[in-house]
Amino acid sequence: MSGPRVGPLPFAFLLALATEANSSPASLATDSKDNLQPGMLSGLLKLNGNPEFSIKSVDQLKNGETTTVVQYFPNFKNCVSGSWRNC
Amino acid sequence: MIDPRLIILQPTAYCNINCSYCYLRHRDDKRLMSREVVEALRDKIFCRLPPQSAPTVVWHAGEPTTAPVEWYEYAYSRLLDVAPHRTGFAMQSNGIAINERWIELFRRTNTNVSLSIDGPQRFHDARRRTRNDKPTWKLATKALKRLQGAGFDPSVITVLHPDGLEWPEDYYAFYRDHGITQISFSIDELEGANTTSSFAGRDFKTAMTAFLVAMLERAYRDDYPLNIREIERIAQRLAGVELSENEQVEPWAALVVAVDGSVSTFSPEFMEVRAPAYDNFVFGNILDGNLEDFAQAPAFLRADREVAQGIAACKKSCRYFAVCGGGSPVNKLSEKGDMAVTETDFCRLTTQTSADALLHFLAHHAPRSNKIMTPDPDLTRASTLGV
Repeated sequence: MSGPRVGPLPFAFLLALATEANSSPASLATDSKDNLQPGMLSGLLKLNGNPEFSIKSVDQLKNGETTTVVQYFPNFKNCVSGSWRNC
Repeated sequence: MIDPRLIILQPTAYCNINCSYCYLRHRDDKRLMSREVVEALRDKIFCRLPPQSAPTVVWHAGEPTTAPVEWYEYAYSRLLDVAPHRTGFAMQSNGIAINERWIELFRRTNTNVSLSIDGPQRFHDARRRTRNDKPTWKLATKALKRLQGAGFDPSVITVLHPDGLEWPEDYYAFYRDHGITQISFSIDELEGANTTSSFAGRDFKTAMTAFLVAMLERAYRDDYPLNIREIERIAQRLAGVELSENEQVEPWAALVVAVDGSVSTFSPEFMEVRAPAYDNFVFGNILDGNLEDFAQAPAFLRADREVAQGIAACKKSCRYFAVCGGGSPVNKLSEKGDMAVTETDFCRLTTQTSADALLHFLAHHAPRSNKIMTPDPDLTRASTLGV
């Protein structure tokens, strides 16, 4: 991926970036019959202690004189983070 | 103490358009929520919310912009001063009536707006029609541009039908070209007034998953920050981020108050379901009682028991439970006639496909030497997506 970002980085993309950088053989281990587990991909975001992929909620991107604050998971309201799909 | 995370308020059941897949039974009813109901909302709900709570209040379930701006000005004047500080307000709209007056109201009340747009024009206009059978895509996208021009960043809900699944690139191009970065996909689902689903009779799980994978791949390749809400939620959960649980299976986590003061909970769409065994999921009326009273209603207790049985069954049998939490009771009842059951077509085509798409997307990006994830072979064959 390259080029400027114009909005919050989707978390799925953060995981993909981490996956591409992954040299550890354990992080993506799963099988289509295994139960999904909370945190099962958390290893992807702690690779080699690389802070780029650690879980963080806010980042500041400097672009010349301006600074853009990017929220990876903003203070999600229910219509953004909840299970119900109709709002 | 009640502490709902989601409060659905229905200023009116009326809708100014007539979508072919609409689940709202009362969309011809032009009544407005009365001042008495607003006062009851204030006294019996908003005044009693814990100060630290952060509910989302959504004007919904009908086209909310068919209620006058003045009605909202009154409602906000009665609710804002007693609502907890972190209360968020949102509106789900088809956008057709949104003009500068609405935008000023949204700005003044810090109300988030989500628009219902079914992607590219040909898919949207095929089903989202005016009451005179005219297309609505141009009107909806005009509202989108108007909101964006005023500094808003509306999220978009898109309802998918089988005929769209072969065209992920067209959908992606629509979102990208219109600057839409927050989307949620739903499906043409069997519930309420929508007595048939175009997904019935065939299994579209692989096709739906492939559609979502293609969306992710295209956006990732373009560095376009397309947030697909269902996938984002699952990605965060699998990465260990703490998220709220499924509000549809937790009594009173989602609270619905209809135009006449009727109160329901669990899936908000229950208000549209005819189910005498559960008193049509109307557990009381805010004009006549309190939520504590409604929580003792026999119909509520029966629903609560059966929803819990359904959760337990899901937990025992479904590999997706950790990212789902027990599904959608209204879809269980609508599809299976029973809330104590497990998998529905809705589960398969929404939560399951979102999880599968994410895992497939990540597997595709794993270094070649590290492809130890085993994606669905059918999906791999189906991924002739140009990605």
